[in-house]
Amino acid sequence: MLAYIVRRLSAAVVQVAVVLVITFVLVRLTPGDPVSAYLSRVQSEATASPAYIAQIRHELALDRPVPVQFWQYIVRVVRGNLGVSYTQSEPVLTVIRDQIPYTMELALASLFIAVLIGIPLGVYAGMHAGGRLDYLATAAATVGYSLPRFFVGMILIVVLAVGLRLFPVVGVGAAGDVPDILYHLALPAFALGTAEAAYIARMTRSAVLEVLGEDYVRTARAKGIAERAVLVRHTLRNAMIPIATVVGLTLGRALGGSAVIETLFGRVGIGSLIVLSITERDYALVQGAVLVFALGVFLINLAVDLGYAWLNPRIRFT
Amino acid sequence: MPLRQWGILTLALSLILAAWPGTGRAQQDPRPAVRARLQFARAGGIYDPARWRYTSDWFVYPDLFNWLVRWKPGPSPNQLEPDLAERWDVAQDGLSYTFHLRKGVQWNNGYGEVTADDVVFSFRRQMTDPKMTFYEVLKNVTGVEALDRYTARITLKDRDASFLWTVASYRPGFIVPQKAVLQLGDAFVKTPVGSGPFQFVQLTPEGEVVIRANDGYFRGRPSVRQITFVNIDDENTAAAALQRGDVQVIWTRGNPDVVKLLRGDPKIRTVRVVEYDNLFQVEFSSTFKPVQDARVRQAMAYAIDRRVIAAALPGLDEMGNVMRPAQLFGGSNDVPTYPYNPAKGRALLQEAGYANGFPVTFMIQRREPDTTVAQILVAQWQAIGLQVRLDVLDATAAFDVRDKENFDVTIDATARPGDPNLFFWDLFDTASYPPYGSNYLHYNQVDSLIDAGRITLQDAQRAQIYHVLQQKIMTDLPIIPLFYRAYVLAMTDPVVSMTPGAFSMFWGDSITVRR
Repeated sequence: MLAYIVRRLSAAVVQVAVVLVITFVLVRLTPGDPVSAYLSRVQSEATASPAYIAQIRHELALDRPVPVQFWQYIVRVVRGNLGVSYTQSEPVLTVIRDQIPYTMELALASLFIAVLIGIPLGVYAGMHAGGRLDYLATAAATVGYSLPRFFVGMILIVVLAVGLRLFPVVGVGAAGDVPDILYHLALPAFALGTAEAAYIARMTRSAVLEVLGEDYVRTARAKGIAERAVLVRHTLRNAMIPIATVVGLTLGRALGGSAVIETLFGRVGIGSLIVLSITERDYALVQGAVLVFALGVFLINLAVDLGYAWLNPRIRFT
Repeated sequence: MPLRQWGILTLALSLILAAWPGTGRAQQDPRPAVRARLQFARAGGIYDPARWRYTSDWFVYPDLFNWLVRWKPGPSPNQLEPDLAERWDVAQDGLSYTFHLRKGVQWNNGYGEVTADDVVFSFRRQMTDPKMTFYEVLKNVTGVEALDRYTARITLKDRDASFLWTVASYRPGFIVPQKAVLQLGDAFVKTPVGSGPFQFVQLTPEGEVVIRANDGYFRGRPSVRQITFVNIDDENTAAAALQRGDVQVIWTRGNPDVVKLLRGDPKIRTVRVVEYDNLFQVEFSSTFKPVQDARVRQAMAYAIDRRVIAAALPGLDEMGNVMRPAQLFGGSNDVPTYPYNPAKGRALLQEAGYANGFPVTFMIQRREPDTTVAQILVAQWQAIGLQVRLDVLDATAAFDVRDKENFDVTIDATARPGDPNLFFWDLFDTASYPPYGSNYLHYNQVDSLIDAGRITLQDAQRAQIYHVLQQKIMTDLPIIPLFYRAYVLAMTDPVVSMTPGAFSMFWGDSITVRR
């Protein structure tokens, strides 16, 4: 397994390098000069001298050829230095370190909700395939997957926050106050989690249906084993590999979807930070945040792959 | 875990979450804490006013710092009043200003009394360091000196009648404590110390700005013990948060649906504030040939029916057809105007040699009300024969395109409050070509009038100069005035009222609350 992990990590270096190149190029192809972004909001009232503009361009290393900028950036990244965010006036690593817990808690909470709803719904639909409730569950999953997260969020705000006053609209809760954090997390996590729950439900239903048709399930039933045991020991366990894959992908997608939900619910986090840094052409912050996201998705996928062996001991990594 | 146990666990968790009160702890201080939406929501986090860059930070400054003199709080500044200086004298030649400070005003956090040395330090640090935001603005200031512990004098190179309005009481004019700035160094940006009605507590990792009442404030004790400024980017979310009571004060601009929603809620009090010195206008590029002819600009002005724009922005912006309306000092309504008359517009186009119109790229920034207004203008300009292509860009790309004058026609707002000098200079002076100013057409006909308005000290003479200036610019029409920006201040319990601030200033000490 160690060799497998080393091989995957080596592949990750290449993947991350590709992400770095794409981000570096894309952000520079986007129209808009970061120095203009830095100065434009004040310059009509606080005219900057050409010397000062040149100085800012130099400080942001934008006065050098692009290949040189890229090389310097790679050297810095290898040394663990992601640069300084000029919009935040802080090192990129510090900004990301401060914001990432909020995105992680949102992603994990949405995953929890997605799993909590998606797996039971999928299992039930699979176990009762063709029944009325299966159609209902399938329809609910389809609707849930089709609705944009932004729309779900707005509906939750209008109904549960403004209408019934059950949950707050904005904020992340008081630091260290776990119930308050959960209280503020409920709606955004639900908005982010419902679409994923629908996806997991669909995949779980398919996996369960496939396993239910296997000989060993028929044998277990023929042996007179209780239906619940058939479900838990024989069906669910064997259906878990495709489900685990979907759950892993779900966490990655939740990280990506956090931008919309964080913005809608006025939450801080890496998602809203990426939106802001792209808007302001804060190259260092965009590159740093995307790099962290890419590493996060890679680690999730690696964990899922390693989890296969735990779920099914017959699986060997070569 | 069996399914039934999962179900019970889920139900229990839901009930706990639903029942959790979320806020509220016993407090010693009976005054309420208030949460307010940070206007132009954006996590700026620069709380040294000399390094100002983001409007959302400016929103908080008046609660933390004082000027020597200040605009009397209100929507459109039209009067100066004493702040740290209880009175001031202007030399007869207009080249020096002497400020007599109040005695006994204290800096927060135990940094002692506000003195003339702090005034000298506050200006000199901005005048000597090019990295300071207002370094260029203060180039007309030749000296700042302390005459004694409570008297400071500022000397100018050239006479500037707008000095008190646009320098001493505006962007570069905040006074900071010398001792705290020197002691804290760069940390002052994130842990500022001032003499205002509130003291800075923290910018939380959650992006909220927390300030606490300064009970020793020289104008009196604020009626709220704490204000937390919350970043809410989306207008609809902000309105929902107010309705839910998550925040007690919000500002909203550009979204009529939100205004309608708030006005329909009996628990919410709204105040519409029109900023007559915040003009929304059509701008032309010096690089686009057809609009170099004044008749073309006039034709485009005649094509605009402001009633359609007003109908699209109900409850918000105030339509107007002059640059600076008469209710402001230096404003005038007695100027040429261009009421809706598309037939006249077509005739002017023909006269200018564009009987078949011309193709024009109309660049706008993706935000409201720009997109709504732009769609109306496209239809109205097409009606007189122009072939208009709309180019919608995000904020930074739009800034860049404007700075490089790489557009034909655009729309934007210009807010230059207090004194007419800054407004006219920024839009119409030859020293204000992009990227340093907003004179995109490179208009060059009123420099001498702008200079005269600045160096003339008598108000009556200045008003006459600005009247002549506006007659000239409304004839030449280097920009087309469309409307004056408005915002809606909305409050809910326990906030009963507050003074709406001009130009993104939150007067926290003006809040009154229900006991």
